[in-house]
Amino acid sequence: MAAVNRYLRGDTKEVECDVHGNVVVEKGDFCVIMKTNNMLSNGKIATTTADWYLYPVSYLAGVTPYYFDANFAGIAMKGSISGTTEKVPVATAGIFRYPLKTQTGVTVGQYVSGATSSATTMSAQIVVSKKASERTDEYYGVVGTCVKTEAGATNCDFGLMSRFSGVSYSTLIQTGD
Amino acid sequence: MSDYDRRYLDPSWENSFETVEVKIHGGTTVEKGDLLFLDKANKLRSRGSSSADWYGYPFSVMSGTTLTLASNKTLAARHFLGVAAWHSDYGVTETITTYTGGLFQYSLKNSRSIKVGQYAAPTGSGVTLYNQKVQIESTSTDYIGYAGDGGSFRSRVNVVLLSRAISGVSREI
Repeated sequence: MAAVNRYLRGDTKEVECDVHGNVVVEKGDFCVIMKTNNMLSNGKIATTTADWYLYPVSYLAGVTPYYFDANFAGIAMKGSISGTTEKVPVATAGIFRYPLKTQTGVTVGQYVSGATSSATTMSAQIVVSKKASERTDEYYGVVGTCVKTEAGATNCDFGLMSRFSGVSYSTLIQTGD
Repeated sequence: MSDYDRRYLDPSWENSFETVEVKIHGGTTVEKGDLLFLDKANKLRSRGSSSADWYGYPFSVMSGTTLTLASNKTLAARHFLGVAAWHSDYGVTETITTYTGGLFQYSLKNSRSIKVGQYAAPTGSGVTLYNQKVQIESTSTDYIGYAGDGGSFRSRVNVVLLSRAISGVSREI
């Protein structure tokens, strides 16, 4: 996915995360921190041991929601090209606009999740928006809540929720909607 | 520890310092920058002989029934309120402002390498918790925030605050 400025408004509460030289991050990518062993795809990276570096969600080993949710760092505000080990600012809050996987109506308060690009791969910059009662496993990779109601929407505006918001899969399931 | 403005003033965090007002007893001294817990459960102070009074106390006052640093650390994390935005002198019962969110810089008990997202946890000496120091852990259930920056041999860390008493933040599963 090409680098796109997805930011709309609000404090972004940025943190600076380390990115390996062999990892490509585009501006606007949903990113995770590798804090659990074997959570990333072996084919894309050399290590399977938790190293607390930043990776786009497309590096996840499958679409297991737990990994997305508990390790979700936020949105990369700057890209990192291949061959450069550097720090990248990551937004952990704020209002962002992302394309929806399929055109649909969206409603304020719905959960917004990262979408899959295949059976085993997460899209780094595409979302879906669902009520809690409509969610299946695919939708547990929550990245925020919808902040704008719109019929036939192709994009979704949402308030970002990340690991740094203190929100986890368990709290979302407990509160429901 | 004297008064210290622990806020880390990053422009992207400009409007993120949420506050609440909390009462402080006259018999308690609070310095600006102290980590506070909310006394919302019995047996948090005086070796577990106290009753909940819903006042704010600095971490060093934490003293549960099980008098160990680990136990006090667990209790402090579970009842973590936030960071004192102002001091409260001994002898004065008053209400002070407390930050319950934002980015704050604290000294580490021991220098170490830090990765963003690791756990910032209470720490102390003997059985007494420090009011203005934290430690960074790779795995933890007793944390008060996450490391917001990283580096090698760091003696300070920026902490993304997670107030349990106010925001209802739960532990990770």
